[in-house]
Amino acid sequence: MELTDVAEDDEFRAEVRDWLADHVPREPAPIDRAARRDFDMEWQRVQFDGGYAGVSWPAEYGGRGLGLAQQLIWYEECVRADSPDLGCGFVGINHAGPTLIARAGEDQKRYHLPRILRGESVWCQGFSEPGAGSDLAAITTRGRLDGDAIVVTGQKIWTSDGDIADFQELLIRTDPGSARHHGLTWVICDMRSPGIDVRPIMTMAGTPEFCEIFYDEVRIPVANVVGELGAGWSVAMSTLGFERGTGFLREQLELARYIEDRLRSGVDGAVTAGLATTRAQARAMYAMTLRMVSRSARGDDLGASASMIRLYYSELRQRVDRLVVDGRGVDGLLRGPSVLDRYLDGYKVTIGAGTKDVQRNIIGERGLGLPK
Amino acid sequence: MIDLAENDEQAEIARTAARLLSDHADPPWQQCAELGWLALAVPEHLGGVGYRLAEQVVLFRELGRALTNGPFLGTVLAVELAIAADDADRLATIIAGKQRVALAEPVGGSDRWRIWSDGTPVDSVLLVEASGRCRLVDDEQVRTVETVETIDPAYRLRSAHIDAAVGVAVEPMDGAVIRDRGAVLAAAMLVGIAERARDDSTRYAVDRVQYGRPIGSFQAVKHRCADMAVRAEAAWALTGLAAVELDAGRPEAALDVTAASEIATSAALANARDNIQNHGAIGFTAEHSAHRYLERAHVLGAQFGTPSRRVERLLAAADPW
Repeated sequence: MELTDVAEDDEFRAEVRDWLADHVPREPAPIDRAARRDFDMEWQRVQFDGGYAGVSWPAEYGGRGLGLAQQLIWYEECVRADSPDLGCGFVGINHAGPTLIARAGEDQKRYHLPRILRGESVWCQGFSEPGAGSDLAAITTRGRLDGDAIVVTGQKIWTSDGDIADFQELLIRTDPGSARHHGLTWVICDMRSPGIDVRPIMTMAGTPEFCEIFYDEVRIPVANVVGELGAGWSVAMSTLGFERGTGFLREQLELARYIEDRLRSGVDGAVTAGLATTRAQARAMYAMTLRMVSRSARGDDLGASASMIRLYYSELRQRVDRLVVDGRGVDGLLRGPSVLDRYLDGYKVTIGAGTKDVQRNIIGERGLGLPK
Repeated sequence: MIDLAENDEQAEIARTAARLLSDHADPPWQQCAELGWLALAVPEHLGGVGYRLAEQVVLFRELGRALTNGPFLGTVLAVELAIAADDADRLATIIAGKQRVALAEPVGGSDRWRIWSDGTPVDSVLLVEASGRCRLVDDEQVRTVETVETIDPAYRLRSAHIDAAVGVAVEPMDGAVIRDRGAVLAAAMLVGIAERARDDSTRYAVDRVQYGRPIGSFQAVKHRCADMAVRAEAAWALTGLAAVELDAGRPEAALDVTAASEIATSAALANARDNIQNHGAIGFTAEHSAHRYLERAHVLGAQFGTPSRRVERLLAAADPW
């Protein structure tokens, strides 16, 4: 526990702050899905051109090649500058990209990583199925080997941005006799392949954010397998590790900033005391993040830290949103662009990326060593 | 950046303290002095060990975990006061283990105080005034009115009259830093309690079998233990952050000191509560240690401000963004 590299960090922060001041788009992100895609990819391209796409990604694939500490500074400054969030770039930057860096073959990395950073490809996730939610190992979407292709048939669900994605991280069962964690394969699926049918699902927040996806004899080249055939579970666990670990850095910082803004704008007196406590909790969340980044830099085993932060964040987010809605009285219940949208949307955060119950299982079993 | 992982020296301080305290939860005061525990954060040129608050919290976390009795908080804060007041003789006396100091808080009225006493004798009393002004007064100048028992059998509260003119004083600017350091050290002790409650519960959840299974395999118990782990982690991370910020004189410290008090107090209280629950009826007995964590957590949580005072400070602190 100490202060390190102060001058170096301050220099990077100042550089980032200046750049963001000149480059952050001032118009709000559009609602229309196709327009939102263009908007997000354009902002990603601007970051790439500025040298800030993938701050902690290896330089050989177009990243900046810096550490997690600098990545954190980058996100802090983005939140301070009110820059657009990753939008539909989220899965590419936070799931697929890190998974490819850790587990993919050289050709796959050279093809996909620069495209993600340049804002040329949108990724989506294909893990959950109607019968496999928290119990991910229960997936049944099949992949049959046929020459140099895997022929996929089945169904995925809760796929955010499935309607506008170019590629998908798809988890399938390639060994027909296998059960549970065995015989699964993590494969890159081109979303324009024949036989894919994408149907958006409306959320309770009124956003057509996620989709169900049907696969009817979809041919995927065997060359698109990441890791090895049958080793998909371990690759998928890397993906989820990134998501639960550093994937939500920006969201965490954004929440901390949001609490400060709400406190400044003044709310109902009884709610103010509640928000004061959330202010303390936001600082604890930030400290946990700093501690995870520090321990990661030391190469320590992070245990269940990522799940702890995810759980802490998601419950804090819901507490804050509820306080803000309550603080406005009846006005807080009015539809339209308001705190209500954020409040309703927030119900997803204790479900996505592993429900809060799954996170508690991980903390109990992996963190504390409690029996299954 | 602010590195919040324990470095090798900090890990060594924790190991040494934990080893000693597991043999003697209440080591002799003289031994604590010889180990440098009272002078950990005193600069070397003043006869101290030369560490900072970031190392001191590591020690205090272990003192909290072991439920160690002894006027550690008051004494190490009096050390800070002696440094701020340039009182080298007093400093030398305290760090040699020859002057123990209790903490006192104002009751209202300029000369009325309540002194926390943990049964061990003290030589002087540190008065932390609401303004932040601090005073160190010899115990002989304290006129005790009455002594009452508190929730924690180890702690009594002495109501006393203390003449407003006596003692060595430091003004609010230095005094507020002393108070802030005290709040962070108390938070570290509360973290130790939160962690010990978590560990006791985890062990019991593995060992205790009901319905033919260890109770820790039931989600109701497992998830409660998981929440205990999250609270302890949050409290420790934030306590470390506040300590590093105070050491570096960072402006965010104003918010994070109070935030650490708040988070560590609620973590210790909630974990103590859950630990009693996880143990079932045995956890409700006088014989079991579970209630002792709860009692100590209440006392430590009350040392540097009430819940409403914490809310006021949390609201008053500047936006860290």
